[in-house]
Amino acid sequence: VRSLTMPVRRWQQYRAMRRDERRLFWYALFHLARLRWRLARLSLADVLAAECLIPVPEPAPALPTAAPETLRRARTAVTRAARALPFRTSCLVRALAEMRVLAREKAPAELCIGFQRGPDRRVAGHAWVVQGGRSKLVQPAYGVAARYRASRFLF
Amino acid sequence: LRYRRRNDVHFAELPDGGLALLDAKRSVFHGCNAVGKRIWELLAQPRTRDEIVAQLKREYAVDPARCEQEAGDFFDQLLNQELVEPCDP
Repeated sequence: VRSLTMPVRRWQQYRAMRRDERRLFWYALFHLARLRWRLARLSLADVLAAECLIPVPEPAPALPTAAPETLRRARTAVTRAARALPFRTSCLVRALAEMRVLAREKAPAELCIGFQRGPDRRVAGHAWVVQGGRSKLVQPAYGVAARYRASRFLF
Repeated sequence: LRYRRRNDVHFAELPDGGLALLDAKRSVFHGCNAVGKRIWELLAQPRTRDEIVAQLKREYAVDPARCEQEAGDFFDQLLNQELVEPCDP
């Protein structure tokens, strides 16, 4: 029953969006689909370069903090767009799309790629976005391997 | 021949003392234990395979033959995955 009512609920959710939220939703949807396609065909290094993402130098200057409303709108748009796409969207694709959406909103952010050892002793990777020193979720267990910021060409 | 780690390979320490290596060029990551992490640290400077094995023998109380075998295998894996590169002496 839930799978049958889900498209209806999603449509109602879409109808309830404001005009700017809808625009951001379509923007996120386009970039999620594009990034999925790219990551399936190109190496991570090539995708990062094409997205104008450059490694953060050490010590890195602090990023200006964006308004909480801007962050919420960007994350909601990416989450809703990811749900609208078929199949699972990886954290890396979501994080890359979120970087794009935040760049569009003039909120510079940082893409982090980290690793942790799972209970089965296997190494698991995760990607997330940090803005103003904060991420959506606290990621204490992940050792951060790489941090990227959008170059000025994205802004 | 001396080798050193590739500059564009990112790495992160794991909470259990191991290390995760991210090769963005090949879109893969690898995990290793504390000894692998030590080998990776040693490869920050150009070193030969024998120098690395000798250093590990000094640092760890382990059977020399076993150390040579396992460190050599790990080094071969690093070479096969192109995580290290030869450099001029």
